[in-house]
Amino acid sequence: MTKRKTILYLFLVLVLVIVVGLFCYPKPYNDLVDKYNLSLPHFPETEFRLGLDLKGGVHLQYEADLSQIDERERDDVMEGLKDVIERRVNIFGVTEPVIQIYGSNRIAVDLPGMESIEDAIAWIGETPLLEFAEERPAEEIEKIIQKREELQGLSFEEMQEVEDWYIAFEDFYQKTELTGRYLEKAKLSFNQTTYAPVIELQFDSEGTKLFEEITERNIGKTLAIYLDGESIIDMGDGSVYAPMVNEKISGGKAIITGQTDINVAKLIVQRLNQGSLPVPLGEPIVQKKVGPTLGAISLENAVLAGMYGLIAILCFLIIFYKLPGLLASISLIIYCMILLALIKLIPVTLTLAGIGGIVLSIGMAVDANILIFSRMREELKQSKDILLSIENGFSRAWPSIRDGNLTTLIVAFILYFLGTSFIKAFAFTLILGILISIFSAMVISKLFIQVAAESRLGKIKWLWS
Amino acid sequence: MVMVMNFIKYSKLYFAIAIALVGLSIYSLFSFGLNLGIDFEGGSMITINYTSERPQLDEVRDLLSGIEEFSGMQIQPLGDKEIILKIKEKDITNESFSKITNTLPGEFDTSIETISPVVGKELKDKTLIVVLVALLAMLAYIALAFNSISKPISSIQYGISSTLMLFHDLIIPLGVLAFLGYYYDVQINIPVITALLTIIGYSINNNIVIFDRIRENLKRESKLSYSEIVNKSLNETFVRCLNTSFTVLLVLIPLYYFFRNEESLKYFTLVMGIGIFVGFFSSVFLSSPLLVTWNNYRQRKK
Repeated sequence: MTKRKTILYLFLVLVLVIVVGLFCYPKPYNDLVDKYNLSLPHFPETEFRLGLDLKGGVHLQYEADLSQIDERERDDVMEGLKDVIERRVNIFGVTEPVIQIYGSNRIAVDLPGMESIEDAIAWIGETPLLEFAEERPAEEIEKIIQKREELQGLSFEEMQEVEDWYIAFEDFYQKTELTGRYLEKAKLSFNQTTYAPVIELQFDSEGTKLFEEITERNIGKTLAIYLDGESIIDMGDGSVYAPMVNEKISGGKAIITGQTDINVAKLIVQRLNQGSLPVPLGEPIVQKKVGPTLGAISLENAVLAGMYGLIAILCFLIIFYKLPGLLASISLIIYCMILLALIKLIPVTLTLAGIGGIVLSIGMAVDANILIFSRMREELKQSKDILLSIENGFSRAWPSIRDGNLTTLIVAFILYFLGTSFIKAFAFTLILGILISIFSAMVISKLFIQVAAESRLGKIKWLWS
Repeated sequence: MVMVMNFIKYSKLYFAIAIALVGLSIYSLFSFGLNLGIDFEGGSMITINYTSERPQLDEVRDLLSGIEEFSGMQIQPLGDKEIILKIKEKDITNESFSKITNTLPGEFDTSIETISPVVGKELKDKTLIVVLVALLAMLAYIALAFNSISKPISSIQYGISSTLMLFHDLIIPLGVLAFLGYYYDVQINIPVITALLTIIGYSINNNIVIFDRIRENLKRESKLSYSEIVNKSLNETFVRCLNTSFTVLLVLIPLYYFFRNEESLKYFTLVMGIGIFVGFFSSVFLSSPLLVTWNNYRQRKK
């Protein structure tokens, strides 16, 4: 490396350290800015987001009105309700809620953190009623249209004089048995060739049967979707949103095409999901702060444990690997700072499972360094040239670092995309940690070690072996 | 270091130890079963509603931990005056209930109801499938990454060996958990599962580091026999494996010390510790010697 390049890289690392350092611990900097009235931007003083198990949060209890539900079905309905609430809370971005059924008809929702609780309550929300309606028989529609024409131009008083005047105010659609209770979920996807938005509906097993019957008798006709008695979206001309049934649909999966505006399609999907709660849910009956499940650990204890663990690792690295160990220790500290800054920025809700992922990723970061140093030592035994040994040490260690980290990454990605709740949290911090650890070992450690080897330290042999 | 250890020489003994341990663990799993905790099974929730001031939570915790029949109890403060106790037992006798009420200080009302698990049945089944898919993906990646050394044994065998080691590394902690669950009512909750996931990660990594060395030595040392190459690779990676496992233990010790009062975390560190230990054993003494045995078997057959 040329001298200029080295200085540039070291400078970049320094900038990185300062920036992530400020994100991790912005207070002194912000105080300084305030004190001297500097026209510099503040760094956000956000706290780490800790999960329910570490810090607690808000405890909400809802009572479901099961009076309309058959006794035998009640358990299933409660399970369904739990699923829907979980989905809604997750869409909202509150990670790691704990949702449990209490007794026979209550649902407790524990949400981490205290911010945006009002929003969360609104989102879990009271259930709107979602209904699917089919066209009335042709003769009835005819009658309604006739009546409407008859009444045209009349005042309200005059209307009431006309025989059967109320028929004019009937809808063209009549309600079916199919309601939001049978809708498992709705989602937005895109046509693979035209990229037009497509709304996908998924019914549960009973809903599948109902939907099959309804579509069978309505082929070529339209099916209206109502939310709380109104068209699910405002069509602008007073008509009802009603997609056409092209064929009998069995299997419980329906696709609505023809909606070209992606924002409207999104809104429909959102409202369909809102309406998919199986039973009405009112305001929460209990809304209280709840403490952490892992009570005995205070946050200080967790931080202390982490610090001692890290210090122990650093001491070990320095004693066992001397100068390279010391340099790797610095890059490990930088690694921890980057990880903490990202956890704060994204933000990741830290739970014990997430911390498990971090522990594993720190372990792998240390491991990468150990692999490199073992290699370097072996190379040094065979050659006198320190720089060459370093180069070989890194390049020889790379395949095993790559394969080890990649396999773990693959597993972590599968856990993340298919897994649920706490497994996701574990996988997420693990993925984050592994990516940073590769960077810290292969870029930062390497830079430090090369710089040291090129300096006078490079001539002191015992520091390196 | 000049010392050269022969890792292959006693591999029959190591296999015997491993088979015995795995056998014991499977026996323990089948005869005792896993003692799944409240996170997976649900249970009961007792709400203690204090009429005036709520006592310190630490005090409550200390007092309640004296009641043996409710191990694995989760204690949470709720609002300003309430405490929630969650226990696995769904039917609580009046006798044991009064034990709780008699132990707690102060004046309070209580209510009790059943609660569902945090991780429902559907999720439980799904988790198993996810783990299986992840294992298959790992096997496939190893088979691909070691494709360049399909001689003398095929690259898929490296994948199979590390999958077997993973099984070994997981089944032993599970066996211990089943034993502890039966005799000491140690319950498996989310933290323990997290520890098991972490073990998977270390186990994979350990094996790959050694296999990587074998891959490299196979290319460089054409004169040595397969068994010699494996032994050489194990010697070269031994210090690294020891150091890496040791550093993880270094992290676990303060974790155990600071969290010793919290039952679920105590078992998190315990399971991690066991996993790291058996993982070290399997990666050094089992996974690669197994490849040698395979190779010998294949040659004898010819």
